[in-house]
Amino acid sequence: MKRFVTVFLSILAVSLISPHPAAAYLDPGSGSFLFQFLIAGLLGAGVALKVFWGRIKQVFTGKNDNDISGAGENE
Amino acid sequence: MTFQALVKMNSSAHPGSFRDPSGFLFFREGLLYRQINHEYSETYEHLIESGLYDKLVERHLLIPHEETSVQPATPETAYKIIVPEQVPYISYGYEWCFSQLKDAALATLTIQKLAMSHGMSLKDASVYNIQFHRNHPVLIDTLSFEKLPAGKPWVAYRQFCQHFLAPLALMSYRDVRLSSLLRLYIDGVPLDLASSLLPFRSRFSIPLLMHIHLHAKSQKRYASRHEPLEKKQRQISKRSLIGIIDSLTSAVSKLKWRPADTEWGDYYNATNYSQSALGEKGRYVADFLKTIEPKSVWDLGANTGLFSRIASDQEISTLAYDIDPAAVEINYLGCKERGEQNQLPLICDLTNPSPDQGWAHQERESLISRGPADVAMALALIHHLAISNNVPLSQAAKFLSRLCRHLIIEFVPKSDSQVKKLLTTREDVFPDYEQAAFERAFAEYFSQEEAVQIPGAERTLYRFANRNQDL
Repeated sequence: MKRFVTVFLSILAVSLISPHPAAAYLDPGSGSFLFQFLIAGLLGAGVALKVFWGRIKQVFTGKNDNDISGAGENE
Repeated sequence: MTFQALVKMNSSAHPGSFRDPSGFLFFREGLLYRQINHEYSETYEHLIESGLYDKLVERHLLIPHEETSVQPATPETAYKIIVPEQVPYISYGYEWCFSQLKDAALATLTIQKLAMSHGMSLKDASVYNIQFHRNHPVLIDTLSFEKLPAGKPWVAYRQFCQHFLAPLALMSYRDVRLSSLLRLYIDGVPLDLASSLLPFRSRFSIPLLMHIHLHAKSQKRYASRHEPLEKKQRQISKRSLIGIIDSLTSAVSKLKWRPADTEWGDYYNATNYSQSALGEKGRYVADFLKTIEPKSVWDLGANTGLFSRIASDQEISTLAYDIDPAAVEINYLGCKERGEQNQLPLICDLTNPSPDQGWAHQERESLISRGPADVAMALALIHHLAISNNVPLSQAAKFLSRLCRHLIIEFVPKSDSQVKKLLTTREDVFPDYEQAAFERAFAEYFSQEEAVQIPGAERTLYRFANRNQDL
């Protein structure tokens, strides 16, 4: 939890500086591509936690709502 | 070139379908076809054989299609020709209310998750690839998929954030009218712009902090670097990709907007119509529609769709256009709740309707280009055009004659309390706004087929037929 708060506060601190308008001729695509590597670890860990929690729940309820097969329900 | 003109032509490539080398759309004898090129053959077969196509169609997330043996538009590159179920009307993200854009965003993410579970991924997450068909958001671009590239980030991540997340966040956190930024920016709202427009408190939402604010910073940082991406040998796991989709889903799901104070929200209660007069008006509208037997109806100034419903309940494909995002939101949520499939509520300012725009002015069509409708209804509308917006009656008649083959229009006289209200803060510079002048102005473009005085109201309902038979 302590680690999470540290990460969150660091992200928040960085975000407080407002972005300057990007020059029109620069391609934002590579930034979006590489940004996913930065957030992948954090979000992947979240999924792992959900799976772990799902397994614990399964032991007690027999149901697993957090299967990461990818066929999730968003509706 | 209008949509109707294209439909009439043979083998015309759709002007909005030119970016994708996998295939393209073309019209032939009134039907829309999609050519799949050889280079996409393997991916297309994977879509079908993996079961993803069936799964998506079963859940109303992808437009169903049939393979056909018609002559390809360009035989040298053609692998297969498919004929998708025809969508009667193409609408755009900047014409949708908050919940329509949100539902389209969630549909896109659900499709991506299902695709990943079948070894595929969306290579586009464009708002223009989703259409409301029978009031469900469906993906209309069957060629949007690619095989899931191992270890690579989601190629459509930026597009999803720009086309869906940024406008939804702006609508929710700042002002619902900011959906109009989608009209200005054809490839979605630039993230640096969204980041600067969003209030400071949006940074306390972790998904928005990540996918908009930090994402915008990352774009700026890497845009100015020139190191090739291949040098970075990092891989991204499938679990992390699912984490990104889940996080985007959480971001979109948490965004809310409720229509609170709106000048139109209680319009039906605020008019000078009694319940019985409202009922009478509805009966005349129903009679007129029965006489015309239209296939398509555009209700202009539909509010929350009370009169549009008279058409859509008769299985007529009906668009319910209104200028007020709150009225469109209420109508959309109502249609959804009641499972209505024939009415599509959309936002439109008739004094500045959607233009032809995009590449060569042809990618996205104007209101007029997507017509004409068999019937346009302009109920309790003309006084707003003529008095609130100073549009001369002759101009209103001319514009409406370009939209429809038949017109059901209500004339609201100056003695009507709603018109009196409009004139309280204006000088009455509308000496020509009276019934005889109205009839003269419309007679230039329409023939009058029927006119009825609505009992219990001072208003008259007209049924006009367009004099232009070629429309």
